[in-house]
Amino acid sequence: MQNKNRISPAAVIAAGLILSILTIVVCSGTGSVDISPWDIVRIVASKISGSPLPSDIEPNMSSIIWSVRIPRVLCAFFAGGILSVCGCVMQSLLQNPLASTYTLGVSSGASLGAAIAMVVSDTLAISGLFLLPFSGFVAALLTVILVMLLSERMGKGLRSTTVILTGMVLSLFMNALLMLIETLFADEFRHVIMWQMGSFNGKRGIHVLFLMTACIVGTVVISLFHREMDVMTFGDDESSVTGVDTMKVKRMLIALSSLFTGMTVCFTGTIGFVDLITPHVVRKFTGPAHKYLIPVSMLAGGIFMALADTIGRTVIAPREIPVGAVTALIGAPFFIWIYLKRNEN
Amino acid sequence: MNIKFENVSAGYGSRSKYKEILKDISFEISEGESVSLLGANGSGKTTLLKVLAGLLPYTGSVKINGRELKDLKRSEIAGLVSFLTQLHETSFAYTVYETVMMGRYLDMKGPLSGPGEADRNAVDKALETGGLTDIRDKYITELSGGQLQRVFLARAIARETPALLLDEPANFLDLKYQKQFEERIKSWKNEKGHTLIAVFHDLTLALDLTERIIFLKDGSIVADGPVKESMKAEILEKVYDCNVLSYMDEKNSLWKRFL
Repeated sequence: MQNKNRISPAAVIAAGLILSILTIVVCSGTGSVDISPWDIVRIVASKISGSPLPSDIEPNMSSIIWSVRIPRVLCAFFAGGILSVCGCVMQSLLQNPLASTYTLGVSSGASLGAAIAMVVSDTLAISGLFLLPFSGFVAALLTVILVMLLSERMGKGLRSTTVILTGMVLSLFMNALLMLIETLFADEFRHVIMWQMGSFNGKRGIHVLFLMTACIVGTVVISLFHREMDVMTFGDDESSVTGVDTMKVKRMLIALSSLFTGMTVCFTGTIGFVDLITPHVVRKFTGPAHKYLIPVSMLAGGIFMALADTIGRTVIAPREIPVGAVTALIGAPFFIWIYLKRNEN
Repeated sequence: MNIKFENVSAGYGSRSKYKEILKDISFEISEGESVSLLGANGSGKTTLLKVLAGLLPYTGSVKINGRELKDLKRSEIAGLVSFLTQLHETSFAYTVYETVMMGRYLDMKGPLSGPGEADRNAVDKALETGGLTDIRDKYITELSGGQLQRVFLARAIARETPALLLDEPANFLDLKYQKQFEERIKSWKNEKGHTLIAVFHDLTLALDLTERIIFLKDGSIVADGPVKESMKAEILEKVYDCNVLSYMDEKNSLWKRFL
């Protein structure tokens, strides 16, 4: 049964899908050399079908699109998608519209892990493409596990306020450690700051494959719990009484969303804001029922991130604005605007 | 549904700061009975309901239909007992209908299934019981405290469990709905062996809706028996630490003066 103010969920999903494809095509065409959407479609078609390129498209243009722009846009899209799904889960589980996986210290934990790896690798002269992301990922997960263990000990079960408070305290603690490392190892720290700001520069097919798998698997697995998440927004007692195994589901969903956030930020850096605002905006259209909220949040987060990245790399080209700064610069005013507008109605 | 408490103690807090609320309580409630739990603030009424709803750990033994509560799965308890709690958290704008439908959680198997005929019928009936049919499409975030209370009552009733636990259900209800609520609860408990256990603030509700009263004081049972036997001046005075009858007389004479 739908409230009159709500748009039909099927229409929202259809619109989301169409907008997603449009965004990916347009963003791929935007850059130092602009390419029309129609040419993008023809390039992709020829690459996929293996047929020769239409004669009016230059081969080097086609390879820029196929191996540079499209991977970058797709990475941004899938990263934004899964981050916003995870943010949505945290808001529902903690019954707090301001919660996100970052509230649990995923972001500061990942940064600290990356910083430690940086310093240690410079000292011990070890290196590797995946060292930074991997250590960031491990540290992020350890932080969340620590937050969960501490809050379970402090209060009865995983009470939302306890979880949020513990997450914030630990985040601040990690940030202090990060500052300490910054003071002691200023030279090495440059890389950490670059990583922290987040970027989709230089992403290739392998990254696309990884992020796409994470995004789709994550969205599907989390969606399986849509009914439990609905009931859990009413608090722990109410959901237990209704028959949900609250503690088990809560632990599992927090772990899952931290895992997927960790997997994503380890490749992209800790890009904020997408996970916080996308679910809010989407809720205004689909309502809070997770059956629709989760998939639409995925699409909307993807669109948002792909646009933010495209804006970041084009407005002051050839220099780039870090995508994390763009998400906040566009996101904050947009969020306020949509909130005021929908509340007026 | 048969409920049996034997030497049950329960409380809140962990180890060093543990505060025992229920102290060594024993009683039995048989199928189809309707029982009021009465007592002063902090006497353990809500704690007792929480234990029975499987929300609090306890020592001693609580048996539902002969099976120990501790050994039952969450879903098994939820299939037997609905609990209308006192406090409700609502952060998100579900509609009244969606909220009540969530009560059917156990009946909808798997993430892909939708509500069936039985679910829709139960929800429609529950909405009617709560007097919510007209506002079924409203957002719960826009409702008043009394309306929200009726939404959660409807959700508890929609679950169609053999036992219903109510914690001060008539709070926030205006007179019209309080009257309606009494009628609905009466007809609910007259249906096939429904068991009702309720905490009331208003003593007349206890007289009107239940046949048996358990009086609690400081976590222990002071009196337990049919309304006629247990609703006595000396028991009330002991339980509430004040002269309840003279207080009621004062109230009544006030009414007579103005009406």
